[in-house]
Parts: sequence; structure tokens; C-alpha cells
Amino acid sequence: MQIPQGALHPLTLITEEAVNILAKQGFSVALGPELEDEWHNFDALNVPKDHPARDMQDTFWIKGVKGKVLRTHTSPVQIRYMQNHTPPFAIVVPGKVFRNEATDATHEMQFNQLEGLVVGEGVTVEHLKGTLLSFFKELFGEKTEIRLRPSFFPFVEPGFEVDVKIMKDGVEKWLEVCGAGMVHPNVLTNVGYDPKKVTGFAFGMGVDRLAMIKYSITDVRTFYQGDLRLNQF
Amino acid sequence: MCAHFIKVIYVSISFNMKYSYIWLQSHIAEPLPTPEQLKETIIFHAFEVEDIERVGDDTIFDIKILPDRAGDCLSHVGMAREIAGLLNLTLKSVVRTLPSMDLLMPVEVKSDLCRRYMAVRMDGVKVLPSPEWLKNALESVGQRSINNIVDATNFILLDTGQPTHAYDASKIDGGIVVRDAHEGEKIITLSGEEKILTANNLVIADYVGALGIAGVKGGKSAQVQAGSEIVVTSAEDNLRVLGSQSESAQPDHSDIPSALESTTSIILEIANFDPSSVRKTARSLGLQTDAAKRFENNLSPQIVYQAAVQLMTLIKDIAGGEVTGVSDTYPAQVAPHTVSFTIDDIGRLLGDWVTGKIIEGVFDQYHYQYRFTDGIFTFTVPYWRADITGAHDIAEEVGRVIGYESIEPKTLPTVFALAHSATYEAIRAIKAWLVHDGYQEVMTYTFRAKGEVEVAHGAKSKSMLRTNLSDGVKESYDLNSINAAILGRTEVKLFEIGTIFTKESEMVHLCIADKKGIREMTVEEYIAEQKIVVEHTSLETARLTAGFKEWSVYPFSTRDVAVWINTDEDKDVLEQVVQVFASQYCVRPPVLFDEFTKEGAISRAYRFVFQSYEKTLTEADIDTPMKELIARIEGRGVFTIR
Repeated sequence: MQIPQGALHPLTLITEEAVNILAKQGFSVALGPELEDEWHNFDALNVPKDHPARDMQDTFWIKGVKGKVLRTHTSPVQIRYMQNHTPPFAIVVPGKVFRNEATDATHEMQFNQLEGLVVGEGVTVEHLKGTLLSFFKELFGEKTEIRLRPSFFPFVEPGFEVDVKIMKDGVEKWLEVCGAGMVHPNVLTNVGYDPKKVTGFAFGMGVDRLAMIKYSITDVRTFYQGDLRLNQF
Repeated sequence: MCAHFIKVIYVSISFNMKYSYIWLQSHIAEPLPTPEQLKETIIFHAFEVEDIERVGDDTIFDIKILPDRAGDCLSHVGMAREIAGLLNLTLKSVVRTLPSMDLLMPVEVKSDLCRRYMAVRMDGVKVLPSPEWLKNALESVGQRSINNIVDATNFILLDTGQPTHAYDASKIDGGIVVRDAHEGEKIITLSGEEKILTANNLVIADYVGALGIAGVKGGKSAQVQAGSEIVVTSAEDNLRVLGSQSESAQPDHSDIPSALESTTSIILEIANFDPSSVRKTARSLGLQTDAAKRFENNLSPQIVYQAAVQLMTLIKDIAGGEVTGVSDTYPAQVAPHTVSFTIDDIGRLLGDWVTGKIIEGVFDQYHYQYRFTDGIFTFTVPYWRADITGAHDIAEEVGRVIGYESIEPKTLPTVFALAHSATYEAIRAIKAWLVHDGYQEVMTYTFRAKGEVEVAHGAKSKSMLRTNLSDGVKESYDLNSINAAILGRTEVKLFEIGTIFTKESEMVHLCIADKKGIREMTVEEYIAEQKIVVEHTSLETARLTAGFKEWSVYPFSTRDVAVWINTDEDKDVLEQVVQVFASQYCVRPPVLFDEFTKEGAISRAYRFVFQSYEKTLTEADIDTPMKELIARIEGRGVFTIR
């Protein structure tokens, strides 16, 4: 008789690979709740009070409970971790997040993120660039290149989009895979750190998208349908 | 696709605007680089250029502006100023002034939410079609030409970023009042919709009633008109009116006299309103207009005056008339503020390559005002860059202008000792344990029809958060049991680890489904029950031997074949025959599902799975290859089909 092999979900496989790469650089895994409060999900992260991301149209608020929200990103875990730890440290946060969106092949109401945070004395954009470069080289191959473009997120400044150049079907392609930046001084102040003493960088990426790129999966919805035909690796 | 996906990664909101290359050039003294080169410069030093398109002699840039720069760059002059700074070019500036003549009409600002209000009266204007250059300019960025007055206000918006509005002066009763709306006050907007206002909305009114919703949209009552034709004051509105003429549900227009006199006197409104108030009003009334978009992003009240001069000059040029009165109420005037920082404040974010010379170089390119004495920079924030509040913002300016590509990647100075979350370690240990035991992992949806915690505005029938994993896992188990053959399994064994939600709390659960049934418990309970050692487990990562294979949406069929053989050598031969056959005709390798020995002969039973990516297979589609298989097996002589 043939003994059937067990198999992990592709999102576990890619998360595990990403976490292992970052662990080699000293990143410890931190987790946090999926049901968050408004302060951790928005206020502490320097998201303005009347920011459209806080609207019903984009975010799942909990009915009948004021200020409770399904986390829209893994970033509130940064806040929770910083409140309970003293720098220096490096963490990686994998986790499920939620957005109120119409679903299609590249959009889901639930998806997974992976977020990194490093805080300490003397942490600069150079370290962010070095960390991400070696991360993506190990994930997508030694020939991988990255580039940073200016962008804006409320909780970082300066902020970037990170593009990755990979070989896809024999063609070189630049893909937008990651948002990143230097932790905003307001965020550091919100958790009781002194932004004159410590600096930090953060980056976040969609795990579903990484898996789709790495394994050539075309429809994000297949990840959550419980169909084992997905577990091919 | 990428851009949309990014939206879901970090909280981010953006605005797209179309910019004409020719229009941008008109603001810059030296020739611009080619559109392609300009695109690269903008992408790597400022904004994401989503598209560039050649339209006639022009090239149109579709640029995504994020909220930090929406206050100054949602305009051609703002973008030109940014480009001039990046490329060290000269921004053309024309300083003009308005005649000082009192407006013979009272203007009262009764709310702090109005940060500045300018009114300019012009008499003797003629409402006419616009000249060609203006039509072309507007059309190049996707706007329709309406008439000279409307087009002038639209042009000024796209050029300076300042929304403006033109009222028919003869229809304003008494004077202009900027005030909170009365609770329940009604207004008919230019597009003919009635809106009911609350005290949280700001209006521009005369002594009779509301003329417009401040910073959001004009009303019908003091509309500018050309002859008997209805003239509305923005292209967007006009499209709506034109589009709605065939709809019977629209408000009756019979109250409008059939032959109206053309507007000859206008009051131009050039004002500035509180960003948060405009945003709330625009959202609550469902009026996300171009004007509201500008005000929401903290447009500087400083630009009002120059926009007023430009608008007046343009109207005089293309519609004639004279300015007969000007009023400027500017209660919220603020002195320019400064930001002080040291070189190290920038270096500690960007790296110690930053020098005073580098910072000065960037500031000089933009002609920014600053002092640099005793190692301390004092930077005067230009009125259009309200987003700059501290050294971190200066670091961004320096970094992006110098270019992030020139920043050296460095490894972290320390490698920290690992201390992973205990829950993560436990989850990882269970996954390794179960996979080793032949279980497969699934992930199902958090949203269910039933639960204790409900989300507001969720999908119909799926707005509850799951209280267990079992319901989702059961559906997965049933689906996969039907598909067992195609999965190459005789038994489905699966599990999910995920968060469940009760009224009181959330917990991480494990659910296991196999032929013994479905079991669910907390992660800790399972660790204890199975005596799993959690420490330092590692999971296998992907076995990437081939790319992902998408599955067919058509049904599959199975056929079982049992064969008698006599020796172990026969086994190898048979195995080769069935494998070759399956690779030619089946969607997956055959599964040996039964094997036994009886009176010296060995019985081997295989299951073959047939499925097409193009259609549902018929009996005949399967019978033909099956005959071929049997022929191949029997052709070996020694085998007998059981």
C-alpha cells in the first residue's frame, strides 16, 4: 500500500520559509489578537482620526461594541510588542488580517500578512535595505534585486514601496511586494519610547501574494476554500 | 493588479490625477526631459506614475498622489514645482495683483471652519464657448469643455489646485454668509439632487437661503446661465445633467423659465475650508467632488489670492468684463513655521553618509528658505508643504531627492537571540506532528452565517465570526471525500489551526477530521493530550519540483482494475504498464488501493482517474482508453484481469 503524505497549506509553507530566513537574522516571531481595538489598530499607529481607512466601507467594525475592529493589518502587534519590551529587538509577525472588500482573483476579505520590526540605537534605512535585500535573495533566488520608491504610510517616515526583480517565466520582472519605512516618531512616542534615542524600521507584505508569486498560483480565493487540491507542495 | 494588491497591505489612500506634459512645461522655464525620462524621475524620487499615454502632441501622465502630498501636488503648478526641484529647473512665476475696490455686498464669515473667503465681482461678462487652447487643455486631461466661465474655474482648479465657484450676482439676495446649515435645511445641488443638511454642514448662503455646500458643491439657486441654456459650474455636473435628461425620475424642470437671460455679472468665490469638516460633509452627503478632494487634503489658504488673480485674468481674457469689487476675509492667517534639526537627526534615519552640504544641496534645488548655523538647521516650511512637521519629514526629502538607490545596504549590527512566541512554537509543533501522521492542512473562512460576534457591513449571510473550526472543516472534509480519488487518497485526513471568537474572547483552536470523525480543541489541549515536545520544531518547506497545477472544473470519473500476477518481477512490469498508461490518459498516477496473495498468485487493484480540462467526459471517452489499457495488460500474456 502507498502511504499518503501529509501536506502543509501553501501559506504555511511560505510563512515558514520567510520566518526561517528572518530568524537567521535574529527576528523572533510575535503574535497578536485578530480582534483588535481602535487604539492599537489605528490611533497608536498615527492613522489620523478621520482617515478613510477607518470607514465602515473598508474596515470590519464589530456590531454593538464600540471601538472594536477586525485588525486591518498586522501592525497593531508592533504596538503590543513595543509596549511590553525594551529595545533593541527584531520581530517578525505573521498573521491573518481583514478588509471589507469585494473579492476577486487578487482580493479577499481575509488574507495573511508578514510584518517585520526592528528598533534600537543606530538603526537606519541602510539596515532596512540590507535586511530586505538578503531576505528576498533567499526567498526568490540569489539574482533577485530590490529597489525602494518613495511612498507614504501614516506610521512610517520616510516610507517606501519595495519592488523585487525576479525571473518569471524566463523574463525579468519588477514586482511591487512590500511596504516599508522608518518607524514614525509619533509611533515610538505612543509606546513610551524616546525617538531621540531609538530609531526603527518596519516592513509588511502580503503572504498570499508572495505565495502566488513563488508557487505561480493565480487566484487568492483558492487559499481559503478548504480544497486539498491546493496542497501540491 | 499590483497596485490594487498593495492597497490591502498597508493602510493607504491615494488620489490619481492626470497631468499634461505641455501644461507642466508651461510652468517651467527650461525644456523638460522626454516624457519617458520624466516618468522615471517622478517614480524614483516622488510619486508612482501609473500610466503615460500619448495624446496628439501631448503626453498625459496618470500619477498617484498619496495624502501627504495631496495638499500641493493635485495641481499642475504643484507637480511642476516638484519636478523643477528634482531636476534643478526654474519654475516660472507671475505675480499679479487684484485692483483694490470694495465689494458692494456684505460678506460675513460666521464659522471657524471657513479659513479664508475671497469674493470677486465681475460685471459685463459674456458667457460663450471657450477658445480652442482652453478646450484642448481641458480635454487633454479628460475634462469636457462647457463654456468660458465654467472652463475657467475648472482650468484654475487643475492648474493651481484651488477650487473656485462662480455665482450669478443678480441672484444673490442681500449678501453672502458663510454659516452652519440649519438642521433640516434643504438645497438643490447643481446636478438637481435635493440634499437635506444638518448643523454639521457648512453652507454659503445669501439672506434667503443656501447657495452652495461649502467646499463640496454649488447649488442651483444662484447658477450662472447662458441664454436659455442651463449652465452648470463644473464639467462633472454637466455630464450628470446631460445624462439625466432622459430619466423621468429627475426633478421637474418646469419651474425654470424657458427663456432666461444670460448671466452678465458674477461673484467668484475663492475660499478655503476646514479639511475634516469638508471630508465629513462630502462623505455623509455622498458628494465626493474634485473640490472636496482638494480641501480634504489641507490645501493652503495662502494660494487663494493668486488663484483669484489668475481666475479673474483668465475670465477677463475669454469672457470680457471688469472687476468691480473684491473682498478678502482671512481670519485664520498663520505665520510660517520653522523646523529645527541637526545633521545627525537626518543621519540617524538615513545613515552617516548625510552631510550638511548634502542637505543644503537639496534645499537649494527647491529654493527653500533655511539657516544653517552652529550645526543646526532652521528650515522655514513653505506654505504648500504643511506635511513637513519634523526632522523625519526632512529625512524623507533628502532621501528621495538623493535617491534611495544610492543608499548602501547594510546588515544589522547585532543578531538578536531568538525568543519566538510560545503559541507560534506550539502551532508549528502540531503542524509538524500531524503532517508526519499523513494529515493535510486546510484554511477556511473566518466569516460564517452563525456566530456570537457580528461585523457591521459584512457580506450578507457571512457577517458572523466563527465560534468553531468544525463547521468549516466539515465542509472541507466532505468536499475532499468526494475528491478522494483525484487526490490519490483512499482516506481523507485533514486539519485546520485558526482563531475562533466567542462573546468573551478569541482562542486558537485545532480541528482534526478523519474517518473517525471531527475533533476540536485548543492548541494547548492537543499538545498535552499527545505529549508533543514543542521546543525548536522545524517544518519542511515547499518541495518545489514542479509549478502549481490548476485543477479542472469538470467532474472526474474513476475506473478500477484488478490484475492477477505471479511473481515480483511481474509486479515491476505491471507497475510500468499502468504508470505509462496513466501518464498518457489520466489526470494523476494510479493508486494501488488493494493487494493480496491467494494460492500463490498476487492480486493488485489500481484506481485510474479520468478528467478533462475542456469538458465533462462521457462513458465512451473513458471506455476507449480503458480497452487500450486492458489490451496492454493482457498483451503481456502472463497477467489476467480479475
